[in-house]
Amino acid sequence: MKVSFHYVPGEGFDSDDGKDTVRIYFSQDKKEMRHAPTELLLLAVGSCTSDDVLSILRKMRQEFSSYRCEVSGEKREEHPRMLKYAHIRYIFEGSVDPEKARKAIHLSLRKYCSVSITVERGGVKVIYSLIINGETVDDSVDVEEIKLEEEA
Amino acid sequence: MIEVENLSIDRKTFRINGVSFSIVENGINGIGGLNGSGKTTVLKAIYGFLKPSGGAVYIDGKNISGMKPREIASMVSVVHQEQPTPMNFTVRDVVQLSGYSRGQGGPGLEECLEACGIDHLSDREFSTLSGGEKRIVMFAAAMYQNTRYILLDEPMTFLDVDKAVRVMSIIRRFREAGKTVVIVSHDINFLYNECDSVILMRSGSVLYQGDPRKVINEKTLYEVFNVKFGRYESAEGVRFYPYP
Repeated sequence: MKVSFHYVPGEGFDSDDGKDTVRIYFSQDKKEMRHAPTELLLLAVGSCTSDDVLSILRKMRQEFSSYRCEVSGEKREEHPRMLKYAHIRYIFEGSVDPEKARKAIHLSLRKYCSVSITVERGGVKVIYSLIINGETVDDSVDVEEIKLEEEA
Repeated sequence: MIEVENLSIDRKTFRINGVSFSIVENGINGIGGLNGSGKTTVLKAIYGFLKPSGGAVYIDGKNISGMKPREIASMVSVVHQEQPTPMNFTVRDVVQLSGYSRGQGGPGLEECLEACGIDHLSDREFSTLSGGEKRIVMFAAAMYQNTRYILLDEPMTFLDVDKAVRVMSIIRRFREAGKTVVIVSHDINFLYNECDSVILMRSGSVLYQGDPRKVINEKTLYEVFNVKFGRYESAEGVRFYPYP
């Protein structure tokens, strides 16, 4: 796996590794519509776990009309300004069984999601919430508290 | 009971012409015919993957066109010829996730892995397995799904001999457990010797159906496959062989 980017004067960094261009924020150029590196990390966390969760729910024939994921985080005030936490919100509309969605999320965050597990093992607290049809099913669950069946 | 009534399917280059048949309960039902005869298309209609342009499929008296995939999955499991690849999960999780629709009872996860001889693969990532191993994992998944009806599309194709033997033993185990199995196969000797009932198709139509010992003979095989067949008795049962 290898990525690359170059500096676009007055704009920021653009990836140039042959795939669709990712436009990255550079603090000196202040183009606010570009994603900052830590935001990209949050996007990576959310998209990696979403890949697992939707794959598992598809396998379980769960039907949803829409899905979105929000990931929020906060950095420390002092240097190094590491991420303190990443809060992943899985938001479904449709006929999704809460137990099955919970199982999919737990499997992802404890076993399969390489990005969130890398981040968590690096000392970042990872928490999640599950929202189905506007109702909060799980609220701010700490991944450290999750026990998979095979670990019980 | 699975009943197919006057089922028609229109595809770009192919058509199923209003076929009707019933699946024999608690037994092995074979669907045979040449490539392109409509075997797999009919199978896909039975589990609701293909929508008919006419007619209907009934499972336990209920038209499946009004059922959600989850409801169908609680009654019917399917092992495809090609296994799904984008599953970066362990064998154990692939099998366990297939049990999402199962009710109370049924064999446990470890029992299914062991019965299919893949307990040693349980922590391997599914996508790293060979094609034959993947298919056996999907048999374990179907066993764990614990449905009344099990549909198998060419289950023996491209398997090594040891895996083909294992698959055959799993299919017999399904029958002993009282399951109703529907198998698409082009293997005439399998259809004759292992099935309780067969459906022989050609060009989108059902030509023959019934007890294979009554239905399959040199004359009907010529009509279905357009090839002359001979027949001999062996220790393993009756064998048919094509000749020029």
